[in-house]
This record gives sequence, C-alpha cells and structure tokens, in this order.
Amino acid sequence: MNLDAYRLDVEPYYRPCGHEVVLFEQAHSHRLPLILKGPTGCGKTRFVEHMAWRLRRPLITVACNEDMTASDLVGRYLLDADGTCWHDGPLTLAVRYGGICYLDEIVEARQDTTVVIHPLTDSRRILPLDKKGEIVRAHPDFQLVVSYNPGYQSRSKDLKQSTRQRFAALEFDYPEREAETEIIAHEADVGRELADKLVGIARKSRALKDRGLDEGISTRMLTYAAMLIRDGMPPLDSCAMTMTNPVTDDPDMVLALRAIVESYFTV
Amino acid sequence: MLAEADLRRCPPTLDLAIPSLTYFLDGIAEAGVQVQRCNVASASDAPQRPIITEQVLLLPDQGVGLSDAQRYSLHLASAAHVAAHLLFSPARLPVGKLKPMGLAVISAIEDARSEQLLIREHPGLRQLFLRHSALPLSGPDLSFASLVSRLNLALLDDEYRDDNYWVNKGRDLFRARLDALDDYDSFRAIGSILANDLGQMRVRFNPQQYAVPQVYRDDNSYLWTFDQVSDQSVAEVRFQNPQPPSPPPLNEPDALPETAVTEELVVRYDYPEWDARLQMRRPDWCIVVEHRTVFVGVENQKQKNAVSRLMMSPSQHLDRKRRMRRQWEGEDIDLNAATEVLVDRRLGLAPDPRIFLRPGKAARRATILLLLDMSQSSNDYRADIGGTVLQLAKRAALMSLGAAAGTEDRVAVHGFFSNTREAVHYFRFLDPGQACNDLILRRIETAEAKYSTRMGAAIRHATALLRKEETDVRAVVLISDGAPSDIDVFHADYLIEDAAVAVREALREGIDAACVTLDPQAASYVRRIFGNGRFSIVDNAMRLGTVLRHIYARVSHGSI
Ligand SMILES: Nc1ncnc2c1ncn2[C@@H]1O[C@H](COP(=O)(O)OP(=O)(O)OP(=O)(O)O)[C@@H](O)[C@H]1O
Ligand SMILES: [Mg+2]
Repeated sequence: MNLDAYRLDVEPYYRPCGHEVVLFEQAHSHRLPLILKGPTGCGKTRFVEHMAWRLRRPLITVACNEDMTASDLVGRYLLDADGTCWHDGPLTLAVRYGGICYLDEIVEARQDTTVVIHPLTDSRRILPLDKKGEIVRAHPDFQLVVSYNPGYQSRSKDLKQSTRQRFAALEFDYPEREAETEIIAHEADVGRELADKLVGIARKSRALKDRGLDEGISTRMLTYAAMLIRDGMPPLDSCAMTMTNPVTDDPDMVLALRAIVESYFTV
Repeated sequence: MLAEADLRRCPPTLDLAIPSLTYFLDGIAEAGVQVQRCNVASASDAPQRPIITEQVLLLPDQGVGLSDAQRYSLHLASAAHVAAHLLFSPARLPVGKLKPMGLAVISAIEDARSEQLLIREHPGLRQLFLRHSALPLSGPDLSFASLVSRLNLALLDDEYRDDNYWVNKGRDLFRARLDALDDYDSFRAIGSILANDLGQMRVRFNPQQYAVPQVYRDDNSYLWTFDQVSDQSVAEVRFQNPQPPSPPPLNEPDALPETAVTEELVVRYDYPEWDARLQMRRPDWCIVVEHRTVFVGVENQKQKNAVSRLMMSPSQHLDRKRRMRRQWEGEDIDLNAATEVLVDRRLGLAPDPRIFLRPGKAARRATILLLLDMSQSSNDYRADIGGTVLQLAKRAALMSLGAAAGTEDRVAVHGFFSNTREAVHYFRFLDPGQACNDLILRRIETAEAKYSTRMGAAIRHATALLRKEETDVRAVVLISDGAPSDIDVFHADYLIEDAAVAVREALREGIDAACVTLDPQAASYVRRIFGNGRFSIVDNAMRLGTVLRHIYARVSHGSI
C-alpha cells in the first residue's frame, strides 16, 4: 500500500502573502503539528495543497463535521465474506504510510473525536487503534495540519487548551489588495482591472462584518464572480449570484451590497 | 445604476430605506455611521439638505413626487456623497475670515474634489451623482445658485458644455489639478480664486436663501466650524430636536389581584475589580446594590396573558434537529453501530445494543439573562427611534421574552447603572423562570436611566446569579449604548479592561456573554470586552429587535 493516489502532480497555484511558505517548511522539517487559522475562503486549503506539492508529500484531507466519530478518522472493522476486516481511516493512512493529514474545520468535530489526535501530536507520535489492539507509530513523513475559523467559534465548539497547545499556528487573512487582485486575475483568468473592482467590493463588504454581516465576501466568492463575468455574464448579475445573494439573507443588506457592487461598474 | 430586479424592490419610504442606506454608507465609508430621518425644519428659507453630524447622517425626506426607485437612488446618492466627505474631506475647519460666499464656493469645490476621489474607486457613482444633478428647467441665469450648479455639473460631467466664462475657468482650473486630487490646499485655492471673481462680477449672495444646488449633497456644515458670532445658524439647527412625544405604554397593564403584596428587597454584594494599570485584582472593590421586588401571595394565573400579549412576532426559537446516534430505540439503524454489533459478535464480544439513530431535539435548555444598560446616555431621545434608547432596549428585551415564552428557555430581564464603585445599582426586574406579571412589566416600563456604566461589576453580578442555574446553556446578553464609564474613573481603558476580565471569567465558568450595542463607535472597545463573534454593532436602531433575536437564537443554541 502506498499513498500515490494522494500525491499532487501539478503545482497548485498559490500566491504567498507573507512568510508562510518558509514557516510551513520549517514546521514541516520538525514535523510540528500546525493550525491554520483564518476566515472562510481565504486560501488555507489551497496553501496546504501547494505545500504538499512543494514538499512532495501525499495529502489526505478530511472535512470535519459534527457527526464525525473517532472511527471516521481512525478506521473501523467492516464485514466481508470471511468475517471481519479492518479498514484504516484517513488519519491512520497518513500516519502509517507517511503523508500530510489535513483536518479542515477541526472545531466542527466534537471534542471526544478530536482527542484521538493527542498522542499523535506530542513527542510520542503514536496512534493507538483501540478496537484493533494496535499501536501505529507515525511514519517519519507524517505531519498533521488542521484549520479553523476563529471568527466563527462557539463555546461548545472551541479547541480545548490541551488540543491547542500541541500545535504551532499560522494566521491567515484575506490577502492585501494587490495580492488578492493578482490571485483573482490568475484563478479566473480575467484582467487586473476587473479583478481589482471585485476585490474592492469584497473589501467594502468586509467593513460590514459585525455590523450586519457575519463574514465579509471571501476570495473564493470573488473567483466565482470573475469566472462568470469572463464567460460573458453581465457583471451585476454575476456579482448578485455569487457574492451578494449567498453571503446574507437580510434583504436590506442585499440591497446595500448591490448598490456597492453597482458603484464599481459603469453601465 | 439600479438593475431591473432591484427597481421593483426599492423601499417605498425613507424610513424603510434607512436600514439598507446605513449598510451602504458603512460599507462605502468603511466606518460606523447612523442614518436618521431629519425632522428638523430648516432655519432659513432655503430648502433642507442632508446634514452630517458626529457619526450621524440626517436625511430629510426629499424627493416628493419621485418614484420609489428614483427616491431611493437620490438617498443612495446622498449617502455616497457623505461617504466622500467622511473619507476625504478635512472636517470642521475654522471658518476664519471667510465670507459666506467664499465659504459656499470653496465648499462646492470640496464637494467636487471629494466626489472625484470617491469616483476613482467607485466609477459607477458618477452616473448616480449625475442623475441627481440636472439643471433646473428655468434656464441659465447669472445668479449665484445658477452659476454654482452649472460649475458643479461641469466638474462632474465631461460632456457638459457651458458658455459662461466663470464656469469654464473653474472647470479648467479643476481639470488641471486632477492628478493631485489629494492636495486639499490647492483646490481650496481654486475656490478662493473663483469666489474672488464672483465678487468682482458683483454677483449677489444671500446666505438665508441659498442651499447647495445639488439636492443630494449635504449642507456642508460638516466642513466648517463657525464662531459664536457668525450669523450662519446652519450648524445649530440640528440641535433643535422636537420635544419627544410621550411613547405609548408598552401594555395596558391589568390590575393585579387584590391579594398581591410586594416587598422591596435591597441587598449589597462586594465584587473585585481588575486594575489593568497595576495588573492587579482589587478585592471587594465594588459594591453592587441589588434591588428586587418580591411578591407575596400572588397567583401565577396572570402570567399567560401577560406574556402572550408580548408576543409581537411569532416565536423565533428554533428546534435544533440533529441525529442522535447510538440510541436504544429509534427510527433508523445506525449503520456504524450495527456493523460493530456484527463484528463484536463474530469476535465473541458482548455487542452494544444501542444501534438506533433518532432524529431529536437536542435537549438543550437555556437561561438567558438580558442585561439592560440603564446609564444616563440611554435617556437620549433619538428621532430615528421616536423615543429614547432605553425605551427601545426595553421593547427589544420584552420581545425576546415573548419569543421565549413558548419554549423551555428561561429568560431574565435585569438592568443596571452605577454611581462610583460604591454604588452599582442592579435591578432584578424578572428572574429566570419567574412568571411575568403586570407589576413586573410596569416596573420595567417605568425604570429610569441614570448615572454611569460600570460594566464589569454588573457582568460579575449577573454571572453570579447565573451560576445557580442548571440549564445546559447560560448566558448574559448585554444591551448597551456606549463604552463603560464611571465618574470615579479617569482612564478610558480601565473599565474596558475590567469588563473584559469579567467576561473572560464568565466564559471560563461556562457562562456565555454577548453584547448588542447601539453605539456606532463601539468597534474600538466592544471586541476587546466580549471577543470575536460575541457582539453585534447595530447602526440602525430600528434593527435592534431583529439583531437581539438573532443573537438570542445563537446564544440559546450555544453556538455563539
Ligand atoms: N494566496 C492564494 N493564492 C492562490 N489562490 C488563493 C489564495 N488565497 C485564496 N485563493 C483562492 O481562494 C479560493 C478559496 O481558498 P480556500 O479554498 O483555500 O479557502 P479556505 O481558507 O480553505 O476556506 P475554508 O475555511 O472555507 O475551507 C481558492 O480556491 C483560490 O482560488
Ligand atoms: Mg458636501
């Protein structure tokens, strides 16, 4: 068994916004577990993909949710014709064969699920499979990376200190204007002028966070809008569909955001 | 500038437009600004224009006779113009020796300069401004107002042609400096030159009759500070608020049963306070004076009526549907669990019989303590509310109370004000689980705002009261209109830091704390006190009820 299926052959495009590439490389060289913090859609997932490619490691991603149990991460016995057989979960695969395991939105998982990573993320670097009676020692290439969005945390959904303190953390935010423009231009293959307008709109919406919006418009939404406009859709409709309509249900806010969108385009 | 679909959705009145205009202005100006209807008649004969005061835009209900879409677009233009000033214009410069006409011309140039700067980022706004800059049908003349409105148009519209020498001179001077728009002084110099020319042309100017020609633009009082003696009364106008109409009572209270006996209980409690400068906790530093009315011999039969009359909107309490795994019984088989049963059987182990999946309301019960900031400032009459901030806060709290009535949640309504650390008055109007009756409603209704806001002590007391509650979720939700302050404290940060410590202590005990604030300037401190995601700044007061319900729903689900 190897993890070739999880290797990335094509470089995922990533535009660095600070020293994060070097910092990640450093963390990786010591196999330090890493937390990536930042608002939704600001490039955390893309960054991990890029780093996995750069470091030539397989990348196993798990999107965490409330219903997830420890077995969903670690593995479970299944039935087959002859009896029972053990199936490694995604975390165990990465631990056993050496890869980067990326737990997306870790706070969504319940705390009794998150504790399975504790013995992996201290000097022991082991993963006990209780059901199977096996202790897996982590492959030298294994690294754990998790992400979470601190703006959206809840008391019931918060990382425990005993979990937090096992990690090093990198903070992400929406890129600076120049950088974000470059990203949109590249991702959606559009001109810088259009990309810059879309970034301008997003930045105005981010000023409304906590003043009526839970989150501002993300980089991800901008790439969607840019793609539609590139395909010839009218800009106002494209922005309504991919930005202003999804980001809020408040009709007054929708109206205001549309007026902001319209202020950026001459028709 | 408005797309087809939006034309149909434009708010039909100014009041209904205000929420979206507030968001629009906040977004464009990247700052918290309130938008309110301006009910004040102009002091002069001139028509009313929008007014910018400290963090408030007062919008007159202009655009009578326009369609909904046109009127909304006019108000958007006003908000955009105001954003231009807030972003780019120096505020409240001293008038000095400037004559009224000089002031008017320099202001017009500043209007144009700041709009050009805004248009650089928002090119779509040029059309919006132009749409509301049409010249009057009466045709050009050589009056001051006509010349200035033509100049305004010439500065905004490249296509516009005028045959007046002065208008064209103004346009050329302005154009020549377009690449140095950031340089306020050089544009002010243009204004002075143009005003001087008008003086030589003997154009007459009557400040009593002049209003900025473009109806969407503000009266420019934002730009200047007038001395006491100045006959420009514009700046004073806005303080002549109409007398607050006495608000209708919240409810027609029914009489309590004859047998009702009440007793006022006053109890004192000592609480510590955190001194951020000394990095020290001062033990027993604040005295919270708790006021409570105890009912003796009152039946609870009245509670249902009282509360159902509070239900101004249908209950917003959401039942959180979640699938519960590993149940003894249920509608579905939990596949994971079932597989494990079979596996365990084969392995000869005793299987866990809880293999069902059941949709269920999470049996999560919440105690929410709504804490009203009753400091003096909440007595301020606000035209946009049609009452005081406190009246609005009370109404919002009672609505939440009504919405919780049909659920298992226990809601409390408390309030506080402080007068030095020795006297933090704390009112337990309604305790969690207590039946609401008319006497309680009347006490809430008549409670007066006074003195200051010692937030930390009040939060500590609320936390202490919540500690006794046994529900899954316990939370304090503060409804506030300003930063913490008290007369015996001189460092602005002191009470902010103390309140932040009080919140952190509450969270550590598993008691949630959140805040809804009506202070548009709250961004500078409220995050420090409550932390990420635990607050909401309500720029538009009329949305307080909605925002509070939203926060309430989040808090009561433990998902803050
Ligand atoms: N620095 C960047 N370089 C390249 N692309 C970026 C960058 N930042 C954001 N993007 C773009 O934004 C999109 C969204 O980013 P991504 O999916 O990584 O967000 P995320 O932070 O993982 O969000 P979530 O928390 O919701 O999972 C990417 O698909 C990519 O197009
Ligand atoms: Mg102005």
